[in-house]
Amino acid sequence: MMHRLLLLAALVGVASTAQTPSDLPPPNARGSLLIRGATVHTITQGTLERADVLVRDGRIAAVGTGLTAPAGVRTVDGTGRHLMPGIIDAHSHLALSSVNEATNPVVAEVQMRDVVDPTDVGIYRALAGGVTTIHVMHGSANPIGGENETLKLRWGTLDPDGLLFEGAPRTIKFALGENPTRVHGQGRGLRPATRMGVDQTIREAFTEARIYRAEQEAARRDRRPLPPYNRRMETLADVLAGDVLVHAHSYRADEMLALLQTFRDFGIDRLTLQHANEAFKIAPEIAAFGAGASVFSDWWAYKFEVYYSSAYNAAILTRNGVRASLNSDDDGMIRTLYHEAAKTQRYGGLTDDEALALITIHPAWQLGIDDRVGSIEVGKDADLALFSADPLSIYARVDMTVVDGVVRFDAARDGDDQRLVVDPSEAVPLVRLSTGHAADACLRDAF
Amino acid sequence: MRRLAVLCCLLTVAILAATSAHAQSRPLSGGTGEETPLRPATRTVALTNARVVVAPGRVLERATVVVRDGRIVSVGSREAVPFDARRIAADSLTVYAGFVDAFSTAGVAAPADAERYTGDPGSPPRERAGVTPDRDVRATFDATDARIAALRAAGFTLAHVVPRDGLFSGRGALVSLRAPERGEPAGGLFVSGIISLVARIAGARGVYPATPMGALAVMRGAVENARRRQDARGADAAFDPVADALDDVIAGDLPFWFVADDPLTGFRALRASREMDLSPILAGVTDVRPLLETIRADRVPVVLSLALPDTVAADSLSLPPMRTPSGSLAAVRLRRTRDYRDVPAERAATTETRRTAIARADAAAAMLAEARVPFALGTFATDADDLLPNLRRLVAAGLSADDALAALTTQPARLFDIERLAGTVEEGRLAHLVVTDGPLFADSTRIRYVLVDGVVHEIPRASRTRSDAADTAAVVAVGTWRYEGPVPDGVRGGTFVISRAGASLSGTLIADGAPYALSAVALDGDALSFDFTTLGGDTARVRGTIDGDTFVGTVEGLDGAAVSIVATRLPG
Repeated sequence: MMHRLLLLAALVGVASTAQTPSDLPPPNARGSLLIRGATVHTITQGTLERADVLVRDGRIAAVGTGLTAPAGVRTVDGTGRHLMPGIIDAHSHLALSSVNEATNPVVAEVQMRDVVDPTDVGIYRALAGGVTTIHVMHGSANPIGGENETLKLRWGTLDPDGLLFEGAPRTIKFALGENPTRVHGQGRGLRPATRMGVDQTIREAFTEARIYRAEQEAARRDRRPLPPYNRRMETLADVLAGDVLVHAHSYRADEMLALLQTFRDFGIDRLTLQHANEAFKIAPEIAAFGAGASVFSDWWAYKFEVYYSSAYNAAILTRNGVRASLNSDDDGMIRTLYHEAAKTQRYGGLTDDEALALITIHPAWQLGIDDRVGSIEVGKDADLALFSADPLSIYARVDMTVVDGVVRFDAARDGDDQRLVVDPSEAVPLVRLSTGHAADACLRDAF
Repeated sequence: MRRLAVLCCLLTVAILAATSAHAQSRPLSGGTGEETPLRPATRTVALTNARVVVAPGRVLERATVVVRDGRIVSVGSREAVPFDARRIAADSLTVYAGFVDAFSTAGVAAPADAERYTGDPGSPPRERAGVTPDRDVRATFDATDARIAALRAAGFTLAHVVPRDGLFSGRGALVSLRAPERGEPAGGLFVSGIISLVARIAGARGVYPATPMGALAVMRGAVENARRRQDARGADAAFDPVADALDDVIAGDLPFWFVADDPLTGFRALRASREMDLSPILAGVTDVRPLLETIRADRVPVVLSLALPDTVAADSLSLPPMRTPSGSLAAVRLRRTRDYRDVPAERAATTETRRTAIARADAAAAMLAEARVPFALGTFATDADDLLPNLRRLVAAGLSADDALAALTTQPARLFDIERLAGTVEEGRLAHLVVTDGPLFADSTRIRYVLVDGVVHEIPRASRTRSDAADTAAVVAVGTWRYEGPVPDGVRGGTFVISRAGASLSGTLIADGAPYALSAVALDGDALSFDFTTLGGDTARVRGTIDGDTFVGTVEGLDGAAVSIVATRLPG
């Protein structure tokens, strides 16, 4: 009896202590959980009042009412709270050691997975904003940047591979407009110095990759030794084959239309326009192509090419049948993407589901992971965010964030020091008060 | 018959001529100057009556070690001392095998600042990009580097030296840590051929690849290309020095060393190696703990860095106390919170977190030993003054003395496959010995002699440490100080300048643009005092103490009360 009491005390003690990252389960952990009585925003199947969601081994096992937790499975009381799928940010530069390999206009061979930094405390902050998946991108210094990486925010691991969204399709960064022409044209006197130069750089790279692949195939056919290996061309040939989804940093309507034409010419059909501030001008054309658009809610005028912008962008795209998402491109704004979604109700009158789709199922589709995440459906990954109120309300805050069924953020147990690695040469942890805004993040390491 | 004799004679002359020509054509770098040590009178040394640690855990009491021509010829308690031996009476001394530095850049010059590259940054020459797997460390090794003597003074006799920079830095070799003797070519110091190819996740400055991700992309491309070229051998393979240099590594004939100075880089290096299908040796991680699982599973050999984080004293964060100088009112105190260091709870929590991190780094070696993961130690990036103290920190953190000695001797010998040459005090090994006056890892123990290839180096008593020097450094009053305090005449804050002419100090205080001449300026130890006269004709007396660039004291004579004054010296 005494022992039991002690055990109980120990358990209570554990449950109420502040969580530090070293307490968290390893990245390969898959948790089980029952969340009862919450308002469940499934996104794809309407909103369920006072519903239960059962999670087993990292997957959503049941959605309904009157569900009971199997033995040993923790129950979370969701009464009066709102449950939505974990937020997905389709454009981020969080948790990276480097962003731009800006030395060459075409660097398709570099991969962001090589520089993922799982110790970035920004991961924890993003979790505290309900985000569970991010698309970490190469910067916008080059017409053709490196391969991006889709990550799950499994905070607590020191192994960068622990964050990889296993099975997510490969994606690559392209960039149009002022950034690449500034870095290469103005900065170094090299091509591209103009928008047409950017288009030509992309077309030439595609053409070269086409020849490279053709020579390779001819050598295989004729049983000759293969030509020298070139990783840059390998990746671009994979883009041409449709194996790598393109995410193109772009702002102006004319350059976006030109890119659509270039992609038609080379037979590439999976494209997401990133930023796309003038997409509202060409929404029908983007819809006809079948491209996605990942935009800001109301962020512009930080350089000349982004003056002609509108807070109605996401709503206009949605009404025209474009799968649009809202992204942060910023380590600070990533914590409040649900506010960004809510703005589309003020500017454009989107419905709740339409607004929430901008930060869940649509970015999931743009990343090719909509069969795994982005909505609350049986069989999908248990990536969930539990809010204190309707996530589209300004009064909502995130109470709990779950990745693969594992609680990785719990506001009730928010520990003071969330550092995974302590640098003993620092007397106090270095805190970056300003993380800069989008235009800067995109050009990190470029100069 | 006679013709045959003549022919033989001619042939002999020809051979002799050829031999001497060959000898002269060899480089004589390092071995010709006046400063070069002469060859010793005898190459035979006997350490008599010593405690000999033959190998970790194997000790001979009162034994004699005889060394001849750079090799150990006998070890035992009944060995006779040869007539031509230099005898070192080693009663009460302990003899260990010389330490092997498993990863070092001693004698490898830091690259000179390259000329500004003006070509296309997207496709620089490969040397500029850091793709130099063909670079041979022996070609640029400088045996006169002061670092070599510093390593030797800490007991290291053999080092695996490697090129410094680049993503494929180049090839390393084992070198004896001694100066070449007169007439001896520097190349004679190398006891091995090429034994390693060194890779780093290092971007080139300003040119492709400039980032870690670029460096890894180039690395993978180069290895894959070399592989394909091997597969296609026999066809008309074009000259490709990079692919040629990588061939040995791909074939598994040359060990592939990956530098990783933190666990994150370690994870990246291990994955990149796996993808390139290469088996790496990981060098340089201080706290290897997060990688332990992978290292054990893949049987990755590890070389820990001796560069431990600086220790942090428990009271490291206390601000200089606000001392009340003698003669002033004891009640006078500054009561403001200067920064977080004035908050005891903050100070304690911050210091504790740092000390935990340092303790983890110190204990990493013990943790590896406990997990039975073999490891060696490397000195690169370690301050020369920290070599022995850091070794002792590893032992203080729980590494057994035997395991520590093994990490310095037998483990690296196994790693480099030179167990017949080094690592133990046994007949036939190189005469690499460390002679101490006590147990190696005790703080009071001093290294007395280090023998490298049988050459005896007497290790002088260590000069004063840096901290000793700092303790006795004179307190300096001269400078421009910015102060806070209600002096004089109601003006809050200003500056005062103290200058020195010969032995006397003088100065001026400036408040609200008005200068006040200082009188009776005096510095006694760390106590600074001076007087000045206010516009009202009162004499104000300033008394306080200097700690570094901070002055804390009181002002008396203003409105009859003592008030506090705090000043900081402005840089420059």
